[in-house]
Amino acid sequence: MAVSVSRRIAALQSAASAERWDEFADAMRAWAEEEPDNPWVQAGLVVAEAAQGNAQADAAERVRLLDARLADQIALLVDLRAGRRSEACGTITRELAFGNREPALMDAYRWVEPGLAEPVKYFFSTPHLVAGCVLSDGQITSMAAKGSRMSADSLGHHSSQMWSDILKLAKRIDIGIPHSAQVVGKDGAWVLTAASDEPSRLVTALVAVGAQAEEAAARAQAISMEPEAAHD
Amino acid sequence: MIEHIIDNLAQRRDVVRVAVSDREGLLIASLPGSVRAGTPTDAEITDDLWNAFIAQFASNVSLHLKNLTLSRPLEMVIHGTADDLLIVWLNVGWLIARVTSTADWPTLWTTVRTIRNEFDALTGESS
Repeated sequence: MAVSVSRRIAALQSAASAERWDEFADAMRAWAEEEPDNPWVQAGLVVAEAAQGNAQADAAERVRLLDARLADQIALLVDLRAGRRSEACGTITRELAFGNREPALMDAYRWVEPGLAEPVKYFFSTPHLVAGCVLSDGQITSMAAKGSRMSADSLGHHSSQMWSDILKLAKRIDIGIPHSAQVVGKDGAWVLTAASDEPSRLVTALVAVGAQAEEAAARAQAISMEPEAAHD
Repeated sequence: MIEHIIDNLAQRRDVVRVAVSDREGLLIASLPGSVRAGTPTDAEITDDLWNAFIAQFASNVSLHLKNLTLSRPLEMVIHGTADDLLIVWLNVGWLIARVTSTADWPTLWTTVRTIRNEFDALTGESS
């Protein structure tokens, strides 16, 4: 007989609070095996395995740094099960902003946020968006500009240049393959996200000052993680 | 003095490397983080390489931002598959940190903002 969700969550919470990461990952793995199609369970498994890997590689102190994310992940499981979409959406956005590119997390995002069925349209409706564009090989495939500060065309051009600088930088100082960048200034924020399988496919946004750049980043990531280049 | 200010960042368990440059990108301080090299080749990245990268990158970024009518960047984060890079404007130059991909961002920002305040106090500059 299948273990109840509340018992699973209780077991996860107990393992996490005692910092027994092997036990945490085992519980998560068992759940994921039983429900392989549950995207949020798969997303939780990624964080669990990261915690376990860290525990083996380093002292408990580094694992402590993952505590907040694990607590978030448990809350996410609970919120998704309970159908609390807006709470779940906030947690997913934060986790995406951490740079977690796990596809299952994106599946969960699509599940809680029906607007993502049309990712480009949803991206252009990001609150406080000044301009946004989707590029492939330096050519703009979709764009929108809402402010008078600049054109999406100009944003596209400078984003391509900036991304080329970031690729050079990553090669020189070895941070692996870069997949996103956020630049926050006094009067706005600039967000770039690249498709992992095709770094020339870029999604880019300029958002107004005071706006949550994470929101734009998460929505941009939804486009860049689409298997095919997104078009309007 | 500068090393003393950035030491709190270098001592964190999610920081691989910390550097400070002047406005033009000339390296003025560099400390190894408490985490060992994030990738196999990281150990080969010398201060000179950091210096060259910082000067070029800071100048390129400033150019693009000017053309985007976004004023000087205060904070930049670049996510990579191995590690992440954090670049923060200090009013007198740049603070650059390479952090692990499992970095604890909320407390990392707290540490960085404390450093910015200490630099402001030291130099008399402020945003």
